[in-house]
Amino acid sequence: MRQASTRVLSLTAGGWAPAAALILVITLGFVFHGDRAYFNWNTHRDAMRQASVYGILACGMTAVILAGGIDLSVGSVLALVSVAFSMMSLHRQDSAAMTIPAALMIGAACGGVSGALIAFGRIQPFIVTLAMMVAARGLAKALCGGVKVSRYIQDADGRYIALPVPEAFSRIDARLLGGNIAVVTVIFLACVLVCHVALTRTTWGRRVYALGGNEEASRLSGVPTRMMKVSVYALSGACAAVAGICQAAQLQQGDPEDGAGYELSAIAMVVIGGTRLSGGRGGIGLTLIGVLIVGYIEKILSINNVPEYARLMFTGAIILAAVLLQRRWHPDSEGRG
Amino acid sequence: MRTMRLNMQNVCLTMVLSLIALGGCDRQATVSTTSVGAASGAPDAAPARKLRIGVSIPAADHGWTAGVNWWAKHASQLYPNVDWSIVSALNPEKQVADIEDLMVKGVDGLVILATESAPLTPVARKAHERGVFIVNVDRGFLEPVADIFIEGDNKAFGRKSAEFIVEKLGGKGSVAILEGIPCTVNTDRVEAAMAVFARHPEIKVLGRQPAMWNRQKALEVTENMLQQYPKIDCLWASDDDMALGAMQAVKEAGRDKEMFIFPGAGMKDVVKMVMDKDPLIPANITYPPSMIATGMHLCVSVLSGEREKIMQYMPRHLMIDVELITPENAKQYYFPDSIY
Repeated sequence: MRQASTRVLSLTAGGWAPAAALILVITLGFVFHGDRAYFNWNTHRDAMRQASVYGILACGMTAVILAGGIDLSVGSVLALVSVAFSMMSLHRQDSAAMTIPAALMIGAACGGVSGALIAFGRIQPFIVTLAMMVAARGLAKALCGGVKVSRYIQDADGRYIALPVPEAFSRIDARLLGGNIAVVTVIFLACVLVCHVALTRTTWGRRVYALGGNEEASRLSGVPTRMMKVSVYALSGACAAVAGICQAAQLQQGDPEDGAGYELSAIAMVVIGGTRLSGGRGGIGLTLIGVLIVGYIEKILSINNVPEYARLMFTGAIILAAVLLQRRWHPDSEGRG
Repeated sequence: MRTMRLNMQNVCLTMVLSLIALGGCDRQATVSTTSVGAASGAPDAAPARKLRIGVSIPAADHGWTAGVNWWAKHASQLYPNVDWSIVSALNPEKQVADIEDLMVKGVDGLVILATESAPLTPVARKAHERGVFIVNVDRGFLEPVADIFIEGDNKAFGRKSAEFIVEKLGGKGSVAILEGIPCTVNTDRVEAAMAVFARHPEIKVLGRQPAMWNRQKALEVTENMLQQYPKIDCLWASDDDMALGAMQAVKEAGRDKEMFIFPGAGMKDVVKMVMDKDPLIPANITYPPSMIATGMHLCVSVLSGEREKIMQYMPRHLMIDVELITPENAKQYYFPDSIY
């Protein structure tokens, strides 16, 4: 009963305020249009493209947070996967049929290990994923010797030569529908759809909500809580892998330093959407709104040449405002008092 | 109770709204100085549309890039008839987004100092294919997509630094080296210097370690080096930020009488030390962040005339010479108003 009602809440009743905020942000673009750049569809295409990698991370993060956890390792896993994927695609020139599944498995394995440590080792998610964040970064650097995996390599005379762009890279970095939407955005929307269906239409999804709502109660009512945790973190790892593949394809390199701080952006997007950090309430629909709010704010500030420091301060203020708003919708929730 | 809740929501929404509005105002204030004629392109005057030039540079993450940002602003004020958009980015991903924004705004020209060469090359190629005039400064793209490429002479930077060090040491002594971020700029500098040291058998290179052109990192690396080597005659810091970090470590270890530090680039604080004959910093070498302004000037001058005809005689690759700064000539390299 409670699960059903929270799901409805997440998409309708609770969703109105973030949706209103998104409409407000999008409307603001018409006022601060940055020399009419806002009236050009390419600005919107680029805004969505730029938010997509973060959005993909936020999809997995939503599931983790709904289940009452947190995943700090996604930025590092993104870097690890982008390095591994670049090495396979560029240096070994493996086909996409092999590199993409392999990359996904690396990501899911990282998440799965975190999940197993949390579930069976009974260590706090914050600590486990913090450890994974550091370890995955180390592994990324170890794989490539700390040097970026680039298309450009130095030959014997020290001159740079360019390797051909792998097909997987150019396909992912392409635009569709006459250049009007980025493939990366389509991948993001596909992740949203898959996660949404998994969370709302399957037993697994109901158990995620149950786990985040009350772990003890769900264990007593027969939910395999340990395996649920492993699967949720593995999903987050797989999403980080998808993001890593997109990142590598777009930048045409695997950078072991990439993705630092991305986990916090993903968490911010989830929170701004209105999913409760303590778990059990929220949904992917809300996260989609959160991703678009952050993406559009970023783009509007960007086309108006607002400097970096001001942008960071706005983002901080908006996260705070979102949490304050949440507290008003859920007077029984945490943070009261 | 219900109404109160709604009120709180309103307060929060208003907060967000006003913050964003503030941002917008900020922008209007800054833009009014640079784009006066953009809105007044009325049919009666019918002048050619104002030139639109985008300048995309790295954010001020260390002293030199702060200098680049300062010079870019400074140069834009000298050309009020150009509609400038100066944007800075902390990482390549953001810089790609910035350049996409500039293309949407329909810039005629782009002046780009890349945060990193490789990831910026594809977006630069897109701009090039659209016919945008591109001036590339300091860190080169890896494909020939720029119309003009300006860089400092990094090999001369290394060579002249090393030659000064050898001369100052009288051809005999030990040198420890701090390197920058591993990239072509650093490789060119260090290899040129090593070639000079190799010609002097009595110069002993104790060790080379990267300190990432970062003051804090240089402090740590120098502390390690000071523990590792009991006697150092010269610390080639190869950059002013790194020199300042190294200087702190050397002074804290009480070994400032033992050695001198050779910096690089021409930060005003360090040039001042040369000018004041600080024994620890006997000289410096230029690597002017003002090269961004040189690039902006070239972009304006080519686009103001007939681009194709001007490009017939413009060099595609400009190498800016680097000059040794000594107490005698330091005055002409000291810009007290600059932030660098």
